[in-house]
Amino acid sequence: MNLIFTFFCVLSIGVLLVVNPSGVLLAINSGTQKAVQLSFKLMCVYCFWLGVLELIKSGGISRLIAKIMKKPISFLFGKTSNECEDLLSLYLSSNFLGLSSAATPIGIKTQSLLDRHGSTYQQTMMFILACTPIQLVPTSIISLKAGLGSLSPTDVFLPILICSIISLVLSISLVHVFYKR
Amino acid sequence: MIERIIPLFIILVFLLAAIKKQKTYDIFVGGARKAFELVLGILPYLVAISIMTELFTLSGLNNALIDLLANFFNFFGVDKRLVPLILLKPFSGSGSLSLVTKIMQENGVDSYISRVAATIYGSSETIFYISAVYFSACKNKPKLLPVLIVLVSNFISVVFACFICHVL
Repeated sequence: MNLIFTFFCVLSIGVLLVVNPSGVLLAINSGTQKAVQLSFKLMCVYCFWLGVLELIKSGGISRLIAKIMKKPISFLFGKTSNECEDLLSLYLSSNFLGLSSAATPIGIKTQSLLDRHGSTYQQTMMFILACTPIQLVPTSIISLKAGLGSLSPTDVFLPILICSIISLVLSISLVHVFYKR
Repeated sequence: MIERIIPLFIILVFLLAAIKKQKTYDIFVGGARKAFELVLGILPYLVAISIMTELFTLSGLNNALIDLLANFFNFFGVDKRLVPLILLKPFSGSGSLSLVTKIMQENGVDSYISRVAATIYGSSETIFYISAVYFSACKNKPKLLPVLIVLVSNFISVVFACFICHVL
């Protein structure tokens, strides 16, 4: 990440220095502004979902979901603690339902838990699952198509599902090639 | 149906916690409190990624890269009009959604190219944003390799998307 960041920033500012020197600070300013606005938008959603997450834990639903998802999780992650298993299964199921606003705070918690108690392999696996989520119904794209007057807004459902699965299977196998369990 | 699942789930969560005689109000507030901490942790990473994206777009390097990669992508049967979307998707979710909208408006919403665009949008994620946000609370920061792994598999699935939208 350090390499990517340095490379892109130095190169872009270098080009802007020649083409459009006054634009540099403008771009930095608007970038910062967008990020801060986004974080506050995220906080509104996270407040609610992190509250619900605690309720989920205290009510015992997370254990229930974890029991259902025990097989796939142990297949992907190997041995994990109970707490990790609970969070992981909640994360995967909320992503599957298309609740990405609920999934992200859970994902961050899971990742930091794996950081403390898990292996690099498990952290990488978590990252890859976050990058190629499989959604039951791709709501945003279907509503966009419907809004633009498509005759069959749901016809992309199958291609999206197939392509997500292809990219997920590929990434998982590549992780297996490059990382030790 | 799908819009009923979430409200029903929330009701279930409250009822189960109440049945177990938990203090739902206190527990909820305790969880919500953590949101502030979490967002403060993410903020600097978001700022860095966002500045990087802005600079890259404004410098025109974005367009230069699109032209450069257009031929490469063409070789794999990927249409030139899709290249901006493929390049932007790893950086920005809202930006790529507006690109999808533009492609659909210009080429007709049910055209082949629009369906491929929708497939690309739906089957990939904002990788750089995720790597920044998910690792924000970790000591062990992400390396280049996982990002490359996802980029490569996303590219292969894009090539496949172009093919599959012909068939289906």
